[in-house]
Amino acid sequence: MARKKVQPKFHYHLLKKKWLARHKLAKRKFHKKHKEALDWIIENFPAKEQLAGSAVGMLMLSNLIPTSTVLGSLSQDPVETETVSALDRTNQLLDELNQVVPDKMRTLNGEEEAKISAILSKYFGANVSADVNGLRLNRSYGVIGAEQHLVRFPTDNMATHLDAVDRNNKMIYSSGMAPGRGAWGYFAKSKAEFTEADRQREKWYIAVQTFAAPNYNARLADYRDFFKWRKMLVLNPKTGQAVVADIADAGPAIWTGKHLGGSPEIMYSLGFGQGSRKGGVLYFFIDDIDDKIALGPVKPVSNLNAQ
Amino acid sequence: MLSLTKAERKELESLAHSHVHQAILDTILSHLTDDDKKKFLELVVLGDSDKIWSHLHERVEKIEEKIKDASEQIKKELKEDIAKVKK
Repeated sequence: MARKKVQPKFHYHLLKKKWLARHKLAKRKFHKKHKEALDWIIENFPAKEQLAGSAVGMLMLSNLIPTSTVLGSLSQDPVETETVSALDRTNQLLDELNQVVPDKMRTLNGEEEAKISAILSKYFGANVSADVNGLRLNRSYGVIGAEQHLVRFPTDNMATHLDAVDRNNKMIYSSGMAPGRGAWGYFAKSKAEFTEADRQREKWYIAVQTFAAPNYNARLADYRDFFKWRKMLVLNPKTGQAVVADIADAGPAIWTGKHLGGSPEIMYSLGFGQGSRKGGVLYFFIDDIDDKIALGPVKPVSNLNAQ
Repeated sequence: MLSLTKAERKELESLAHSHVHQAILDTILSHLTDDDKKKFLELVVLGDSDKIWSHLHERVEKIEEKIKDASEQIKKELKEDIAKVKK
């Protein structure tokens, strides 16, 4: 039987799928094979130096093997090289998390939270924990569901909400805008007062069940200030995809069966951009009293301050 | 001929580069002892190309050939993938 010819429009998807699978397998083997040396370098050198150094290392290797010509049939254009994956410790992180995170969705106990806090703190180089001075959420492992974009200032709308890149992302564009405002109101009083920090806060926001926090009613004043824009590390324990998010809304309702919600950008970055757009995540507070940790996707390669 | 947009091509190139580089690093590390691996990675972090090469030349015979062989193997595999999707 004659083989059906591959449609040109599928070239990209077929190659990407094949190469990602190939790369993932190679990466896993690489980390397993050289675990001791990789752990040693990460523990002994500050993240900033690692990243700068890895770029130099890449240049050194590129000088020997001009990889822009390795794939000559693919392109004649020189391209930027990716940071060496030797420093991406996602596989190691997942190996450690798999030993603690339960297979079935349930509330974590104190011991499990402590272990996971230690793992996340180690891999992301920041103090990550399930509670801060006794203040915490009702859980730290739950089902995240997709939220809509939040209106950032009085005249904000979908026509102007997204930048050019996100406008071309169907999932992010088609999510639409929530009819109401977030838990803290507008991000800025007007378009004129709207800042880049406001833009980032809305882009990487999560909604958490603030109302279900332990002793919420007794510590209302503490909790109100505590949750506002509080940064959390949200991580998909199946893939290792992680995002530094901020709390900007309350929800979802308990009856939904979901435990938190993520902006379209968050869901996309955690690998929940397709299908049911929900799944299990770990969500832990990040100690960032000086507000130095940037919001957005992160990898377990170094410390959050350097990303 | 592959039908790719500029963005698609760039993404695939980035993936291929990453794959080739990882294979090269794997080859280098596989030919070093545990202590020499750490020394090599330390020199990479410090960005001293001359010392990196002298370290490698002292420890591994014909290291350039080994690196080229590894990259050729990856190149061959990736080209086979390209040929398959073109069919």
